[in-house]
Amino acid sequence: MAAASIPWHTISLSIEMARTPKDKTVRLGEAIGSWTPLLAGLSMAGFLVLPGSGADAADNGQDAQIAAMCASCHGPGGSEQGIPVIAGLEEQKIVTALHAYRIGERPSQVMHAVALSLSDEELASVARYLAADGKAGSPP
Amino acid sequence: MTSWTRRQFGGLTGAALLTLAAPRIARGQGRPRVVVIGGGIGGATVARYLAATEAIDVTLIEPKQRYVTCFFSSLYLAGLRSLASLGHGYETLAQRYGVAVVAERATAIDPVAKTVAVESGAKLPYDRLVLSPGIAFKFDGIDGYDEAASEVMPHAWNAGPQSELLRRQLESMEDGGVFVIVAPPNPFRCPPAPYERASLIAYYFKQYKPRSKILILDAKDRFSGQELFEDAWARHYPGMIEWLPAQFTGGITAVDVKARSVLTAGGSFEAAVANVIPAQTAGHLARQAGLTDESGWCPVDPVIFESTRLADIHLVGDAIIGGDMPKSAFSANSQAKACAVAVAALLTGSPRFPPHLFNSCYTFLAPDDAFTNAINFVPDGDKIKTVNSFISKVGESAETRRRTAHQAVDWYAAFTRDVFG
Repeated sequence: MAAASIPWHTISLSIEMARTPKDKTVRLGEAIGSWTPLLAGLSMAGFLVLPGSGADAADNGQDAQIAAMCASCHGPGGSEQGIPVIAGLEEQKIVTALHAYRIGERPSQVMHAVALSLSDEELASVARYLAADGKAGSPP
Repeated sequence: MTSWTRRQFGGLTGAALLTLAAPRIARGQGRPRVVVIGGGIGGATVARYLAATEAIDVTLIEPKQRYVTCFFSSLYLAGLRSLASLGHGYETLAQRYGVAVVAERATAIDPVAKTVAVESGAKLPYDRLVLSPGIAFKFDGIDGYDEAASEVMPHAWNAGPQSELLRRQLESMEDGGVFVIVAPPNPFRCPPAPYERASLIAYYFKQYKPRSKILILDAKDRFSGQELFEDAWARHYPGMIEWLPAQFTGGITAVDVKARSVLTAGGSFEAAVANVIPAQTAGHLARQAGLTDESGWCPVDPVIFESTRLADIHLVGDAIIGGDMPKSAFSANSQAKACAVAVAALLTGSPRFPPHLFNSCYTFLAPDDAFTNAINFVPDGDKIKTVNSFISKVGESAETRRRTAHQAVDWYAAFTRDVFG
């Protein structure tokens, strides 16, 4: 699969990885020879979800809009000591962490405020989004 | 594929345009046009996120080749980071995202014809205009302090040459000198920053000029993160930093540039090096275009960030009246994302959701001791209100503070990448 060979780790979380319908991602990757500089732009297209992109209710771009907030701090160059990379984490792990931050079980002023700002639905959808984007971008 | 260059920028020289020779993302016939003025944090973020839609032609007007971040610039002043590491160009926005970067100064906005004039005389048409004009200094508040005086007593509140000037002065200052910081009245860019600057310069003095002192003459009676700063100053720099509130000095009235002294109602203070941070107002173009109110700042709709004074013009960043949102890079970035979503929705019909407005700041007390705050906000009527606000506590472990300092460095890398690509 072309998508699997895309070095996502070289481009940052979320906005570059923002939603493109998954079936299209593969074809874009296959179709473009020198895609590296282009890919980010293309895959970002869904961030604001364009008319006619075929988005359904669960895929309407709200998750990407929320994930854009994550991108203000979580980049591809994070570290365990500092701010970790979150793209590609398991969905359930993200959900669990956000819930723990929300109730203050895990200490972090920043993540406490973030988690409190998300409704349960938003929390679930952004977790799904981040997990899926990471998978699309994992090296083989 | 290159015809857009002639079509849109016929009046500009090639050198003024920092774009791809053959942009991958063709600027489309009849696509909506957004012009963004100001390549700071707010402007660059808006440009990048709008260009990402691939449905809008985005032009960014910014005369400087590189933006030097104000945040982290006190690390440079303290010798802990190079100024080059704080500079960010627009190449990625141009080359990867297809933003047309016009390296000129915007001179006038015509809100009726919906054009922006630039120095060379060209007029750039827009469907929606976004301004991120930043701050200007009010040189009428302190007698004797003006642009020329700032070359002797730098403000260093726009990073770049002013920061270099202040760094040189600190380096050549003799041990035992007094470094005076004049802290501005509210509201101003980055509320904890004058005190972070005092902390980091104290760190520098402690190593190289240990007999030196820092005196903060404040236009206010309290400041952001005060407890945390005062605790850190006692722990790291005992006896080095003195803070005098307005109620003690009676307020700052004037500077004497020749004597390098700062005059207050209660007396004058001589400085070896003086860092005078004046009161602030919205950037020049915003005022010239009539986008400010009597406060000197720009009122906006808190959901779509459109000016309440002129239609089809949006504003983000330090220049706006952001309600509870502080004037910070993070606020500008957060507002810019909300604004990009709103502008795209208005121009292309893409869906729009209630914005998540957020601010977080990392503040250094020493290289391995930093604190953080985090606030989320919601639009509420014509204002932006705080929902939850958290800040580090006095008495946290050294390990927690070290981790926060480490996070700050990671944050800088991720954040500037989010903004400039």
